[in-house]
Amino acid sequence: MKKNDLLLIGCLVLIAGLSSLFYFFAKTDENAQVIITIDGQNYGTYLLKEETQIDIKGKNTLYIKNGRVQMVDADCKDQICVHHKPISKSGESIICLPNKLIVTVESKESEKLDAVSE
Amino acid sequence: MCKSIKRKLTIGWVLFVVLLLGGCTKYQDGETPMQMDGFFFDTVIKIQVWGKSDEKLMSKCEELCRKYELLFDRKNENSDVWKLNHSKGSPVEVSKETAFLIKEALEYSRLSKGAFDISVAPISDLWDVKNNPGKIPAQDKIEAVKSHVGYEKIQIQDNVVTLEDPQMAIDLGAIAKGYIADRLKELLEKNGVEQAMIDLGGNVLAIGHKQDGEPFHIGIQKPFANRGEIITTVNIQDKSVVSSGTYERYFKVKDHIYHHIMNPKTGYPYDNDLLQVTIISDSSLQGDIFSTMCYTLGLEEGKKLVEQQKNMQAIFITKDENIHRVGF
Repeated sequence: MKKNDLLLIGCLVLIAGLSSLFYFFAKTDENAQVIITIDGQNYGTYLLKEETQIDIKGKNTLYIKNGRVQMVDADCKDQICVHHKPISKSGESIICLPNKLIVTVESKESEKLDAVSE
Repeated sequence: MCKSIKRKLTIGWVLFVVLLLGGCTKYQDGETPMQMDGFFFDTVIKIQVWGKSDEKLMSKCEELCRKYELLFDRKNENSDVWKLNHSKGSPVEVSKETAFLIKEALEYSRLSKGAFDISVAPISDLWDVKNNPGKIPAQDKIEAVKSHVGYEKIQIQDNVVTLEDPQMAIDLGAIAKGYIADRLKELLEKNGVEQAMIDLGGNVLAIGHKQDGEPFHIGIQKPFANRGEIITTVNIQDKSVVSSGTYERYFKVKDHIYHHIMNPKTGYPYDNDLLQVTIISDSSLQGDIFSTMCYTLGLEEGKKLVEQQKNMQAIFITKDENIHRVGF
């Protein structure tokens, strides 16, 4: 019985250790994410390193290429999001106010801005 | 019997260790903040709180924003400001928060001798810079609306406000965000928050410092560049950063910029040597007021004003794109 207990302890500790490791590495730069929300609701999460073009409800078109995210098209009047510079650093975001859309890059990069005073 | 108790103890101990190792909940790992995103006051707001896991706190922040949006939004018929602007010269009882904000604004209107004025709204409405495709209003119309501007015509006693000229209108838009940021900070601190970042559409207010003990790293928008492009940065701890400038809303006619910061004396947008003023201060309301006020005063006068304040720093960007840091 004692042996089985030890086996159980070993297994559980191993599982805990492995999940912590996975959790730790999942947050490194290699896996920087592009997070899209509409009116506060999560719309989709994409990898910054993967080249894609995302059509967002036919209203906005987002382009991810070479680790940079750019809004290439929007149906809104002001076009502020289209004129936003491409983003790549953690914490940076592109906002389309008329469509209540927020695109944010998130990673564990150290040289990141915590906010921008506009 | 004895063996079974021993076994239970062992299992209990194992569970304890497992929870210790892998049981960190979402917000207690020290790095993932609780976050609230929302659309208020015609802008996007973001509040991040580190070291706490009480989601109710974020709903309280949201409630607070909603409450103030209702008080200060001049387009909402139920707001204090709407009621005042449609009072036709009769006294209106407003909430104590609205009364406080108007009193503060009046104090700074006096300090700046009317360069900063919340009653400039009729001029701003005539120009409607946000939607204006490039049409400068006729001079007689400018003269007409100008005559209804003047902070001296706002009377306030306790919570009762009177706009003496029936055609007057006030707009608290330029200072509401700063005031609300301060109230959010107060709410969070009352609930034991020691590390947070409040961002109300570019009005930045920090509580404490970052998780790693470093100050928050804040970028300053480069005037007329793409949104998010930075001209310089500041590191802050427990401070507010607010910028005002001509690039926020403007239209162009023959290379001349017509922007949204209106001069009550001329009825035209201010025209001076500045593109932007950023204020670093303890209070965000102060930041809002001083960034606009310093812009209206121009580089030299603005610099003097900042130097006279305690605990205030400023970054002036002039038209030649030079960066003038004051109080650093």
